Amino acid sequence: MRVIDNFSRRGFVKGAFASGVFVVGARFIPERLWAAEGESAPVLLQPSLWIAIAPDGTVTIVAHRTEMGNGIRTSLPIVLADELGADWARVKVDQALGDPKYGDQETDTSHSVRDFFDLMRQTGAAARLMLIRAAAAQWKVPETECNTSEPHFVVHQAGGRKLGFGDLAEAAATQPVPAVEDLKLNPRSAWRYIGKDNHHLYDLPDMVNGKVRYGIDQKVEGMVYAAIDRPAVLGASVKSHNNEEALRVPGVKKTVVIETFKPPHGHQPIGGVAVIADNTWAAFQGRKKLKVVWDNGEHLGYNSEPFRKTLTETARKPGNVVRNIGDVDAAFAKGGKIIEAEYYTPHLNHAPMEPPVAVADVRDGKAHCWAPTQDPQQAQKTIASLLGSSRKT
Amino acid sequence: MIRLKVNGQEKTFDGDPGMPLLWYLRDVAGLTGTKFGCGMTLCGACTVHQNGEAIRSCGTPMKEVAGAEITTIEGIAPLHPVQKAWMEIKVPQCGYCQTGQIMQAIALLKSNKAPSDQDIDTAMSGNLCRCGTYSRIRAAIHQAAKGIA
Repeated sequence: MRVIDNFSRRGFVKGAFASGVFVVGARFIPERLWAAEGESAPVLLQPSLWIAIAPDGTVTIVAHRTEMGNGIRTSLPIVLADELGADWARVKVDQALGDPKYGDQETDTSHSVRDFFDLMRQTGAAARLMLIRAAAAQWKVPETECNTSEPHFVVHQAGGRKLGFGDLAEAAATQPVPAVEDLKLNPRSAWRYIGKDNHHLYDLPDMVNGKVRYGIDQKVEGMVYAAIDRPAVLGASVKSHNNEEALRVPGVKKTVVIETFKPPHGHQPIGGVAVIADNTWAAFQGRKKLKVVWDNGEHLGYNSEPFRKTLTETARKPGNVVRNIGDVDAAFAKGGKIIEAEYYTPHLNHAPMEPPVAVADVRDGKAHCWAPTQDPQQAQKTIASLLGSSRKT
Repeated sequence: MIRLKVNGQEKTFDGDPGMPLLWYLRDVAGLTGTKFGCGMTLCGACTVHQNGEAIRSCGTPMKEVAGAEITTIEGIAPLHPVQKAWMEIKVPQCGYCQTGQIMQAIALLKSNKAPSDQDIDTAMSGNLCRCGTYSRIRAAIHQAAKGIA
């Protein structure tokens, strides 16, 4: 379900897109989710804005998936840029907030490019065609004689003319949006960036200068810092805690018990005691001085070895078919060299070098949160339910 | 009162003298390019220079840097040859450890203008990268060495 739309003249275009005179968005539900909802017509999501072109030629493209070293903040925007005919050096990437209008933003299981490759290309191609039509109308030549053979320009070779994307933005905004069926996607041979080693990560310059902002780098005026003493056993809760010595650490303000989740765990906090201080170091020192007595709960005797056996046995039983291509049994029946292997990985922590953190600014009935998360919308839901408020982005 | 220089600027600090330099830089001085990784001098993400030598700021209390000249990634001239090589080789993946890697590499190239693979591996062994960019880090240091020579 894809409907590409022109949002250039709508009042709700805000933020990074406010400076764009030509703004193209799309209503979109990934096919994967569509299939999950069956054949009935899916509810149209709010349109999401994908691209804006400012009069100075700056192209802003939205990255709506989570960057965590997977490169997605570069790889999807560059697909759109390529199809648009843009010069990657003149593209700004704008990180989307968590918002249901982008569909499910949970960035996992390596499907972001597969799910959004076509949409990015179609949106880029629609915007390109509108720029071409705007130029062709100005030159009074057939649009078929115009192209984007020079990055960031619409070119009319026969007439020896060209116009920059920025110069065309305003006129392109008045063009009707082409139907998806009318879009001509660039052939593979014409791709400038996709699959080529001629560009770098969008954030590379900031990465080598220390300017990339990770979750832990977020600052809010007057913020305090918390370090949490967490239980060693999942599901354990705080029986009692003595914070006398912790509160004596200079800079420590108070301690707060975080309730343990009610199963199932899901995305809820695992509980513990938070030490709140003026700075991280004081919070760390205070945490060391805490004396917590834990009720370790039912998982204290958990042993991974029997669980491993359960996993191994379950893996040999028939399961839900997620994808089925070809006839595996028939292929094996043909014989030949068969290689069998069984793989097991123990419980593992992701252990990223970037520490999981969160910053929250709660005031006037609103919560603004920053966190390195794979699933910003789930984070919003969890925070809303903990604060007892409704979720609104 | 502790006096020190950070990226050429005179600073004073009258907080806990046991506070590691890392937290002074990040929470007090607002220089967030220096990263917190493990807090136990095991990962190298917090590497900065003290009088030109690479140190782990997470394990260096403020009292030990009294009178010292501290340089962080923010104090490295724009596009130092090491940063340039990092760009050309496209070293980073998630990027989190890379400012520490760069600070360590700059210190290495000060004392060894043409390090061998072995020299690089030895000097960089305390800087972990969870994305595994080690082979590109090594290539970038070789490339930077040519730029500096």
